Amino acid sequence: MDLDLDLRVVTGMAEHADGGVEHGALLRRLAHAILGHGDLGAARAEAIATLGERRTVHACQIVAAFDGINRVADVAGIRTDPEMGERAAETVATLDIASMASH
Amino acid sequence: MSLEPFPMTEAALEAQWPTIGQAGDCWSGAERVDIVAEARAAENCSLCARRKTALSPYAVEGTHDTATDLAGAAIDAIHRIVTDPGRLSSHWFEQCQEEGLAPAQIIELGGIVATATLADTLARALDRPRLALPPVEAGQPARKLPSGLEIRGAWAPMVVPERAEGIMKTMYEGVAGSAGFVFNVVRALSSAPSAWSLFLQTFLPNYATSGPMPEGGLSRVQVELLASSTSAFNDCFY
Repeated sequence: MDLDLDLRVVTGMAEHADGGVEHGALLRRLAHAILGHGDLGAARAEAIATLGERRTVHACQIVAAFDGINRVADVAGIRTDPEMGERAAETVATLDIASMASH
Repeated sequence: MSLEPFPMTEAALEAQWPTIGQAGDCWSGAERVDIVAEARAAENCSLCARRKTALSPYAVEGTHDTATDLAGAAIDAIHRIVTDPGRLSSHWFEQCQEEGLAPAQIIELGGIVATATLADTLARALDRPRLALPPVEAGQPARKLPSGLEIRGAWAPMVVPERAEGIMKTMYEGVAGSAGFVFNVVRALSSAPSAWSLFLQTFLPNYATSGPMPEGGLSRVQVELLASSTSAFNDCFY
């Protein structure tokens, strides 16, 4: 998977709020609100108005799925997959993953 | 305004949610349903709220606000997984074992909590009611560990690809066929096959690393942004 995404957007450190992704900032706000930080009703309404219902539902499903799988990763204490090679090393460095207790 | 999930997601939840009420690998059906009830109680636990804001989650003593009669070690593990997963550590995993939980018990419990988290987060996101607790079914836990467990790539034992059997072998081969290897996260719950199956069958209709995107849905790069942002908000490297 080779995507043109500024990884720093996931920690709010990207040069541009969207991180090079269409509606990136809006999607990030929606995720944050779903996880209990912010006005979910407002974020959901903004997403529906901008993306439409189907894309908003898709976004909700992705956030919920990863809210679940994050627990799986943290409970088992899995490591980054060595097969990911340089991409994993780049991600670890960009997101300061080594500082996370569950890593 | 309530939204409807995609049919595949709804079908997976309808099929998998009731299986929580069945006996698993280490826990009875009643205990597995209690794990979900306890996970929901953790959201309003005052001890967990204090721990969440403490410099160290082990620096705050107290009693959890509970909803079940599960053992204290299980309740503490559930509450920590729900409210502060980013600060779970190998020390925590060892401590759970010192308090009487076997690794497979912790993993099964974690898989059930993860599934409940997925279901409840989705309900909140779509402004729908939560699923009711599943009915309890009679039966005894299997109490049998799968073969091929090794501590490799995680602090929990996991079934290694070369020794997987049955449906796990089929799943591993499918993942390896598309990605070239079996992701550690796909193996994470493998020491408790009931939880492994429960979680993955609930998760996979929502996300895949390859294949076509849902028609009229988000683009691949938007999905990856959401996935990685969610993990970052949860302090999870995955």
